[in-house]
Amino acid sequence: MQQELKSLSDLVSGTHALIHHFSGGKEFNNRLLVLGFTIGAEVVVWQNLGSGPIIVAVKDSLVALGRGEAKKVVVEVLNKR
Amino acid sequence: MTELKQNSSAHPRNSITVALAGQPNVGKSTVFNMLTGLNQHVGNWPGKTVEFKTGELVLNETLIHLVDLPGTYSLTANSEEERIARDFIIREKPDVVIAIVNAALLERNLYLVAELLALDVPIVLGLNMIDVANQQGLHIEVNVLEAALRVPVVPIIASKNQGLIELIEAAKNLAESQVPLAPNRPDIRPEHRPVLEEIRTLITGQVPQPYHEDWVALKLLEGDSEVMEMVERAAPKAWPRIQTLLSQHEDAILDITGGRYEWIARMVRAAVVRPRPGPIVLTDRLDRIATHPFWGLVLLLGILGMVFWLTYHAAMPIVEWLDSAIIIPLANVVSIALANAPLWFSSLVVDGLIGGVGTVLTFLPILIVFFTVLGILEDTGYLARAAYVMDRFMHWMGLHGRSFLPLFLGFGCNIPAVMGTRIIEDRRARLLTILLVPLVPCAARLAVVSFLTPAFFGTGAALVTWLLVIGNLTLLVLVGIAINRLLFKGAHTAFIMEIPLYHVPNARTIGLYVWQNIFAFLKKAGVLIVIISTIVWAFSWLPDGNVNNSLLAGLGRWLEPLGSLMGLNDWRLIVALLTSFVAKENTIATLGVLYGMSEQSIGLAARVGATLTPAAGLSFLVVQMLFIPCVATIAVIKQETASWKWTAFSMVLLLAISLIVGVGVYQLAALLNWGM
Repeated sequence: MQQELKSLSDLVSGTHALIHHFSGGKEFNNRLLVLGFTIGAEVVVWQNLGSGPIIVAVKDSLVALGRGEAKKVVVEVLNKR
Repeated sequence: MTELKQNSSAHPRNSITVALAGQPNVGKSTVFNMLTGLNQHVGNWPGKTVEFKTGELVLNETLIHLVDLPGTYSLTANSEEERIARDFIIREKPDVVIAIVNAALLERNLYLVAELLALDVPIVLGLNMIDVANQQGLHIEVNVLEAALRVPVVPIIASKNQGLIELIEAAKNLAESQVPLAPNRPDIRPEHRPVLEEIRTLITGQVPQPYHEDWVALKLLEGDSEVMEMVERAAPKAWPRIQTLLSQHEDAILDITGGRYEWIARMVRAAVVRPRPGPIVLTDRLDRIATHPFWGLVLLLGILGMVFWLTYHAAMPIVEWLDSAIIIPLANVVSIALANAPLWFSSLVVDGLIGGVGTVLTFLPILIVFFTVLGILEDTGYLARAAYVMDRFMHWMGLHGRSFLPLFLGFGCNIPAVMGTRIIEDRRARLLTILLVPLVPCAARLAVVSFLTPAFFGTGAALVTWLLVIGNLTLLVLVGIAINRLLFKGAHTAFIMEIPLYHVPNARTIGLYVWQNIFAFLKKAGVLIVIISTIVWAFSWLPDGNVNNSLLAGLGRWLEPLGSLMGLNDWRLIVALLTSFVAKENTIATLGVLYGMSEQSIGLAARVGATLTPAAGLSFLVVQMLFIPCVATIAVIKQETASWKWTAFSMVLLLAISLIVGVGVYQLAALLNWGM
């Protein structure tokens, strides 16, 4: 499977992806890690309207991320719907 | 037979302390409320602004002190709540910690449990909302989970009061048990084991009591700022070497958190039966609307409209009833009883004291409506959706959706709103939110406006009230943009927020929420309002019993030139605004004293309205909505910002805004011939 790295903010609703790395500061990383955004964890983009915050499903829970925050989460895309 | 009592009158033989831990949105406060009922004490953690709740119950002659720890996702020093929760466990050493988890979100919720286990404290797991999990097709084998974790697991449905006695019993048995528990604990991945071991050796014998060396070593490797500071102070000789090791392993946190989640996955693998693999999230039809960029906004504005509707149609009739059925008859009876007393004394009691008590009473129905709605929105999980929908708008001010929650609280009362800003981690965003809170019209200001507007504008009252609220909120956005640009150079903070699953609100939780807020209002504001009403009465009586010659009238007349710019040619209106500084609702109490003495009801509003042109009436309402916050709000602003400079800034800012906008609105309205 070819690896396609993208920012979480660039994925359309319904996309499945694996967390690859973060490009934020230590505290930012910590907060995401604790919520289950661990390296390799599967996430599903629940709602991305193209602007404003997005909603991501991770470890059975829903987390809202500001657009700027979602940009700093780099993921490996699994499929597109 | 198990006997549970929510008070300590049964002469218990011994007592234990049980701490209640859990992530946000797991129903922890419902568990606490169900177990302790009204037998709880709400305060603040010593020297902190985080709420501290304790309660007592008696189970089979054992007195149980239940401490509700702040809801936190982890036990890293990211926020004040997390520091408080872990400090309590480490320093106060509770006999047992009950960890509440949401069965429908088991893996994420067990993260906190993985951290608790590292603290070496006896743990009982309360598996809450098993009914919700079952509805989603999740089935959890309690015995299997218990065997994997090697800690007692008790399934509960807190909202239906099921399993709570078994839960507290399990905690009591664990506290009294002689056999130490050997729970399964998450282990660190092999690649970081040597460095953890080296750090552990470096700090041996140097960690201050009561911290555990294993835990300190692990937290160092996680890069926990508070623990790093502690070790730097406690072990200055070893510190350079530790620092080198830590900078070589900065990514260890990725491994440690990843390792904890892998451990959790192993723990739940055999215990949880899922209908299909992959993330299952409740597809909530409600969210198609609640988080929709357009319909979500419509819903939010609709809910705000509903709150006002309830205020007018449910709360106001009760307010009028209280007035006509209690306050006026009481004043009449007391007047007759005091017929032979000196005139000043009769006036003090009837106009000062009873008038003040009447004011306090009239606000209770309105506050009950506000806190009930807010409690329901919070308990159902809707407020997080509101924050999500509002995030894009908060961005303009350099804030994010989380700031919306405290600002929304401001509609109830600015005091909890200012205190509620502590959910915002970033100091800058928090300060900006605190400065903006007073621009949110609180229930007291809305009540004053709802009281006066019908008399000023008749059938257009609801529209005018709505426009006043929209006007305040528009100013809030403009002031927010200005402060962010000018003072904070357009900075921005991270928006990361859990969107909890919807659940049916719990009546007891909401009831207690309303009661606690009303109680706080009566205790804090109620007494103050009565005192101030009496002082205002004294100022209006002195020196000779004639209001028109009084001290207060003198001050009002002195300020009349300023007031006339806003169409407020009557010193009594200026005095009413001045006394609103002490408490917003005083506006009406003061008008009551100045215009009709004991009249508190609709007659008063009509009398005030008769003296004002519509333009002047509008400017009075605008200034009332924007004026300096009340003394109690000022006090919490000082407490939360820990700065007199920012507190003074807030007061000057609002004084300037209210005067400028008041003059502007009057001049504009007069120009449009409204003043004629």
